Amino acid sequence: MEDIYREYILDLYRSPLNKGVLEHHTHKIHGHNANCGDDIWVYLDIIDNQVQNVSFDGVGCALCVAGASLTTEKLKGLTIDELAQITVADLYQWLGIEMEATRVKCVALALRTAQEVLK
Amino acid sequence: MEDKVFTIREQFPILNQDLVYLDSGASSLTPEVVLESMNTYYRSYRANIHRGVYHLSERATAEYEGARSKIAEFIGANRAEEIIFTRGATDGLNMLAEMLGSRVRAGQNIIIPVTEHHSNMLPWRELARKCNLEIKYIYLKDGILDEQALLDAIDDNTSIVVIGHISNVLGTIHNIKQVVQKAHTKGALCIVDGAQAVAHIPVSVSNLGVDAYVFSGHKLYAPTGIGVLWVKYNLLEQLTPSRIGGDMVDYVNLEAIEYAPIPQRFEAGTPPIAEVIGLARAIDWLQEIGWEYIQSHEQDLVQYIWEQISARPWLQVLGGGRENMRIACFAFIIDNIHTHDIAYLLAKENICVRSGQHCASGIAQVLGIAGSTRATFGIYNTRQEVDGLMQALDKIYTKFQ
Repeated sequence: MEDIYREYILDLYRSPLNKGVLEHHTHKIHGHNANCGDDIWVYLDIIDNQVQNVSFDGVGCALCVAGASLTTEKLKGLTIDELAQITVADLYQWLGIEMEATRVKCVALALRTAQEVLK
Repeated sequence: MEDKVFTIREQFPILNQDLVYLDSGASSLTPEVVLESMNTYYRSYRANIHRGVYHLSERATAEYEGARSKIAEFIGANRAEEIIFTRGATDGLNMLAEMLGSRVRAGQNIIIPVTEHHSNMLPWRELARKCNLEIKYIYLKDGILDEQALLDAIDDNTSIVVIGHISNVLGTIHNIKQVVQKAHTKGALCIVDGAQAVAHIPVSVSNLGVDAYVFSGHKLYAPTGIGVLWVKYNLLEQLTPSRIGGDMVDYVNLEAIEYAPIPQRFEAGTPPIAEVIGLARAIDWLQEIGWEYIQSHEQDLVQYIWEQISARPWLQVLGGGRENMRIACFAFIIDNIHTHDIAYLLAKENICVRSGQHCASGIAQVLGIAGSTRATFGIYNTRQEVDGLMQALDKIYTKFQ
């Protein structure tokens, strides 16, 4: 079967990181991927332009949930300037695999949603 | 019996590749004879209809109007003039909802099952908003549309009852006749979306007694971009065209307009002529195969799929169990595996299914699910393809454990 569903990603899907409502947050942003119905909220606690804490909640496919787990993990402690710099290429590096075009929206949903905070 | 399906498959050039196509509920494949009929039009008598006095146009007009008669007969309509060509079921329902605006009164209600495809829900919600109608949603019972609740909801204040002949998610066949009877005793219109029905069960609009019926060609082994809106003649007479322009007037000067007779007045602009010809050919082709074969083949698949499903308790089928009469349309969920992951992994094995809410978000919403994976079968599908699907699902299930 397809390599993108490697054990690492499935593990993050079965046992996601940073999943659930973040009680203390300064931002709550909705993300939706019409392609496959991924529907998440990203919670950010940003103080002095720095991400103190971050979580996500909602429903998504394995790639969406794995991507959101890693994204939230990596965002902790970043300044919002650093958050702005993160690209899909970084995401691929964290995941150790590249996605085909149809699945980028899934895996990058949490990142794109978090970056809405910059707008 | 099994041999015949392989003869049928040979008529679909697209199947000459590694492909298990289980998405006919979204759009069916097209047999060679239908493609040929459209090619012949383009190569031999391509011209506009109803206009030219030369022989190409005469032939095109004859084929176009002949298609109308054939389709009328196919769905048991009393008159060919009741057939209006549209772009598809969605288009027909939009036209109807627009045209019926003049017939409803503020404060009346409209009945919409939550099982409806968006195409048979959103135009009516918009009509309700514009005309101040109360929407009465009808919910599920035991996993399928609560038909008794629907009957009970129809009252003296009901203007329109809309319902799909067959649910595009659950695959279940609704008892249209009893809905029509109740609607008519209360003076309401009954409008039926037949998009999922016409390729799988014989339909007679006269026998059902409905007021309007729509379907799309592209789910009927015919081309995309063509559909049919059938409306009972005495209702058509009361409707004003929602689209006006070319090819639908008898007389125009700078002061006056006189519309053409029914049905031309409802077909503004040059229609998709090749597609109409293709639709008529698809119907001929279907009738050559015959309902007896189509239904027995597809019901054989239904029984076989149920057998396979019963051996896999982790596959949860929507739409209740075997007791409910359904076409070969199976939407299912697997706990803890997202529908999109299932469809994607199936696609990697060249198995084409649909995932998500299937344009019927009401069902997902009331069931509290993100969506489902849907396999829909047609005239060309085989038991071997069911086996292929099940083996692939086994692998996916194992992988996610």
